[in-house]
Amino acid sequence: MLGIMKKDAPVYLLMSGFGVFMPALDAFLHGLGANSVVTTGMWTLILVIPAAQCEIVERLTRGYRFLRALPLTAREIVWAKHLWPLTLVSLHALYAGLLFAALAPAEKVRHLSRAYFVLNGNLALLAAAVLLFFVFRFGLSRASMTALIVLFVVGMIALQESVLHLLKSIVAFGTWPVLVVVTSLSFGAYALLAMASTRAFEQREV
Amino acid sequence: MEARNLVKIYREFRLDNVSLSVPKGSIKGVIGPNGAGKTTTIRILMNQIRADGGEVSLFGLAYPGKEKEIKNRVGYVGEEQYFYPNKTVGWTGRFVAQCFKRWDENLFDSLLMRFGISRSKKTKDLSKGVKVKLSFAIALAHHPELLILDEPTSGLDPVIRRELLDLLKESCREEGKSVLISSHITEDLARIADYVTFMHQGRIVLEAEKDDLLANWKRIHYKKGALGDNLVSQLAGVEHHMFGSSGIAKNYQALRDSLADGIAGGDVKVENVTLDDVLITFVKEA
Repeated sequence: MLGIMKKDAPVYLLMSGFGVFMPALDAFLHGLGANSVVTTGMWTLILVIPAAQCEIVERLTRGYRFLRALPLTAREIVWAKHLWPLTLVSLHALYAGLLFAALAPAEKVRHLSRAYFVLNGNLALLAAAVLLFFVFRFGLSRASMTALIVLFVVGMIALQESVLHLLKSIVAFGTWPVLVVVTSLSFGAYALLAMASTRAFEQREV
Repeated sequence: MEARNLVKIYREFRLDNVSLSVPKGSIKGVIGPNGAGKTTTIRILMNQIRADGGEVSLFGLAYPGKEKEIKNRVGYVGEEQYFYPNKTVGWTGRFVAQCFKRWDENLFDSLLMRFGISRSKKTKDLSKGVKVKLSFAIALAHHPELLILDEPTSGLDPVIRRELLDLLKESCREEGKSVLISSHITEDLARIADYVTFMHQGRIVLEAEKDDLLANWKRIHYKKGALGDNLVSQLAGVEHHMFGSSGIAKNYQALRDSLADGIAGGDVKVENVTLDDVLITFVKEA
């Protein structure tokens, strides 16, 4: 399982590097205001893209045929593919939250960012889990995967401002108990989708 | 290894109650024309596809619960070789080494040297023959007890084929491995197999010890009128030529006495068959 994760690591780490560096640069150059919440949160969402990139490579190289010939169970393969998005999206949401908690001048922005990053992190996790489910259930083609991910990113970019405005008007959303419940539900959904992917992968011919 | 009553139904193909076993320390060849069901059977044995019916047991263990244990004891070379193309041979070796419990790096190295494969080459730059050799090196480097090989020599030149078959025979003789090898190159199986199984249209049509089979099956050439209708009716695939006819006797030992006079008089000649002849006879009969 670690071998598969190591193989995929460069793709995830490159994108995560940008996800860490760009918000920090933004904070350094412009300071952290309400607008930075949107740009920083985008990086959490963008962490879904490496998942699609890795699957496109597996598809092109018939990688799963190679992996299924080795002593690896379907569960190990599927979870190896789920652990990177889970880890990096969670860490990035945490990083963004801490960045704003430490550097944002206004309490209102800190409060808003917390809710926003948790929401984006959960959205990114669900998007990754759904994408991976489609991959393991149907063996998505490169074109379908690219289309899905482009639709997701474009959709999210288009909706970011609206989500921010919505959040501003629902300040109550940002309380800790609500965030914990929403995140727990999201983690639970992620685990359920990973289990469904494992089952689908066990049944599917690679 | 034992497979019982395997069934797999596709829209245009049905694997029909295939039962197969490999005696310990022996080489069993599965022979059949393209589309006979050899690859489907082997992929079921490797748990790469699910059977619609039947059971598979390797070393007394069953999928899916014991997949890791089983695959740790099996060396597999598929019909086509899939590696990550942008990774080197060395990377591929390190990657698979993490998956196998009994990976032997020294053995892997020595096999790479024997095959003349450079660790620093990317797998996309390897020829088909070298990819098959790399697959063999991976399949052997974790000391498997059973080798499952699906058309491993198809599309390779005779030199590489001979080299791989010799290696296979050597590792069977020295380490007591069992081998299940499918091929439509019957010459390869005639060279190494102890047992042969013929498949056609998704079914097993014959299983036998290779030497017994070749001792029992003979091609009989006879001049016109040399054999009675009763004898001719016992021959398969009878062909008529300008100077006589020929057909395959499936149980030559039973016919030998009846043919003795014809053989002595020069009107009947007996010729050894090849596994190709056996295969073609089944295909024609079907």
